[in-house]
Amino acid sequence: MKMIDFIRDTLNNQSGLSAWQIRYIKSRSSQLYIIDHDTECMRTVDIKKFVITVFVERETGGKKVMGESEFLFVQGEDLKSKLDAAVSMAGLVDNEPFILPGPAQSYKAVKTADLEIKNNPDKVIMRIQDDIFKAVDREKGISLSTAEIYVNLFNIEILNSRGLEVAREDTEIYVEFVLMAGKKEHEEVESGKAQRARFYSNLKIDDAIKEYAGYALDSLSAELPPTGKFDVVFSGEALDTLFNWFITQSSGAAKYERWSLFEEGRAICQGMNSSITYLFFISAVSPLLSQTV
Amino acid sequence: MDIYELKPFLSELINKMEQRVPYAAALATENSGERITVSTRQQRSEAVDPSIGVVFTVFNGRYFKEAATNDLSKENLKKTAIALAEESAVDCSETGITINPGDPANSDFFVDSKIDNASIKLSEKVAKCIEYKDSLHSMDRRVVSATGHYSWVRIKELFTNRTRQLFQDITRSQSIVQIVMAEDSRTARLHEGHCFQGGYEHIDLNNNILNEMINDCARILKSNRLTPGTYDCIFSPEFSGIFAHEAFGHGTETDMFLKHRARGQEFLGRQVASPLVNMYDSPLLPGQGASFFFDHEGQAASETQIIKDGILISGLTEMNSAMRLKINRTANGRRESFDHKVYARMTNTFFGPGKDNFEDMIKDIEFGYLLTRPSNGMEDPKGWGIQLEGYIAIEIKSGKLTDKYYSPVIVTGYVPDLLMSITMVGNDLKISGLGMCGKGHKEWVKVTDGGPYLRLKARLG
Repeated sequence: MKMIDFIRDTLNNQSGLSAWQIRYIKSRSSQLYIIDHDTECMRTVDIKKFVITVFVERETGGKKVMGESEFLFVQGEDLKSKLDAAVSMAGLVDNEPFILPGPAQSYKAVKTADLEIKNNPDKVIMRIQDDIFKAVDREKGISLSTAEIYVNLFNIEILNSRGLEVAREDTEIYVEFVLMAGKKEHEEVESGKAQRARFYSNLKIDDAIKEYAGYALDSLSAELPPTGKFDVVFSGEALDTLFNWFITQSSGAAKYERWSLFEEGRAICQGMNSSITYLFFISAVSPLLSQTV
Repeated sequence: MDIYELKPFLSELINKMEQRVPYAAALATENSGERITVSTRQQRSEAVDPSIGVVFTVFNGRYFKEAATNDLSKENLKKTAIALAEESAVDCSETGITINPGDPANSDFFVDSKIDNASIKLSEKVAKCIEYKDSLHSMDRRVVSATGHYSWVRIKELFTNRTRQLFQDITRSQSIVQIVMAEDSRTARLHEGHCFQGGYEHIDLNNNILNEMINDCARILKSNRLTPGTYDCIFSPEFSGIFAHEAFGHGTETDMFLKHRARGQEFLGRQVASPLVNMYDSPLLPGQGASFFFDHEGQAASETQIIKDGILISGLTEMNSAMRLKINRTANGRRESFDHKVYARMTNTFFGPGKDNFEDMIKDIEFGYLLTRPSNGMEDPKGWGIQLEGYIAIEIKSGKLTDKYYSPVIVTGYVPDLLMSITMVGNDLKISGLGMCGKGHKEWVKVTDGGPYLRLKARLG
């Protein structure tokens, strides 16, 4: 019997449960750590885990409430005792009831995995290393301090008590690099970036290195600006940071917990000369991107 | 599965691996615990980041290779370990770099809990969190969201190499309260709490702590920004802690030396701070949240003095940088968990106490600020720039604290300028235990920081 079927059967036979969900996550991460142009470390990480959420619905004070509890299960553990503990935990939590998605839920088919990462992650890692070395070599006055390259493959299956049974495959590349500009130790400045991409073709590491090499070289002659109030332009990471407050204030958690200052239909900023529009764009292939304002 | 049971099997595997490679080691980790969060509109109780797994490490003469897995069946562990050794053997080369596995040691270490968390019913823990939440609401009508949080984690770690087999079993527990206050289209938030090694005995928070938090949050709600400038400042012990962490904590992690990312490397043996300044990193502080018995590379815990009488004397090392830079190992090789890489990381980092009492430190300040309730900080080990943020600056006038509060407050500056400007060091020492620390954008490990009151000059904004 497959482990996931064993868990499903155990959950179905557990008393006191109103609903359950299983997320079976398999991941393989291949990692390369570079200092200068030398390898510091190569790693592989293989993880298989079941994240199980149990829901317990009951009445308290004439009102229906639902409690949930989540636990992680790995092969070799005692599932029954972990499940009993989780049910007991969920029974102590009083949240507003909600319904899990059922099997009728329709999902748009999108490409979420890079086949080359799936089939030959080491080749992709070596190609990214090569891209980094070549891109750094093209930048005059720039050297590579360090880089970390992760190439990850995730297989995720989700099952629940309402009959939902879906699976997806994800790939992810994570690259972190730090560049140095300047010749003598005490004159060196650094500039670095961490970026993620689902597909190798979206990574465009040479563009990132060109951009951050520019920042490093500019930093060599940069001085602290005077303290004061000035017109400024935000873009890229700085813009994302600026938006953090807006994103937090407009989050469901902020609204639900009643500390958001935002009200639907009301301006979110007072005294602005021009309007500000921001929106969340969720896509299978693009990260959250902010445009210059 | 209990990782303790893996002892003989991992020893056997290490022996087999070292038939193919010059050095092999294994670290098994197992975390379990509970997390209970009760806020105004939501309750949650769950198992805390449970994880169990083993990472095998080999050194092939040139670099490290690792394989991590959470499938602890003997069959899989053997397959993973042998495959790693065999593929590493292909790349083995004589470079003259060898790893010292350390003096023989075989010990088990435990941290005792006065009250075992597992012996307390979950309902009792939830009830305590509800009590905190309700109590905070009742203290001030402006509290729109209140949270009571209690969590504990039990960490078991087993390190094995050819000379050492070390096991530690450490439980730490933390109790945190948080509020959001709102009035006149403004909101303010604050949190309080503590984290110590041990068990359920740490769930209680002193009522004075809750009252002070409510009062300070109300003051933040009404406060304005201070006029930017350079002022005589007193840093509270909590603010000194974040200063220690950011100033010469990250900047002395020696993997940053190896990457030429820390200017501290050039300043070893040179003055970087006022002669009044002593700074330490110690995983040996009794009961503190980031204390342990050995690091994740099997190095026995010991205290490292980073700055002695203003002179930078030591970095914080992990195996790779210590080996390549030919410097002493300190117990700072740490991983987020078995599936993360080792880096040089802080533990409990703090300024040592001096001789001054608070009243003497403040009495001749004509105009300045007491900075307290730090929120976060950033450092630049290469350029030695630093930024510290806090919720509260209290005005000091004619040697006395006034009732004028400013919020938020941001300290910016050049690390040696700030450290050299320290003219008085308090005679107390307080460690703040709620910290977690990332390296770059990831790699979270438990840390604490602290110090005494410090008097210095700082640019505030």
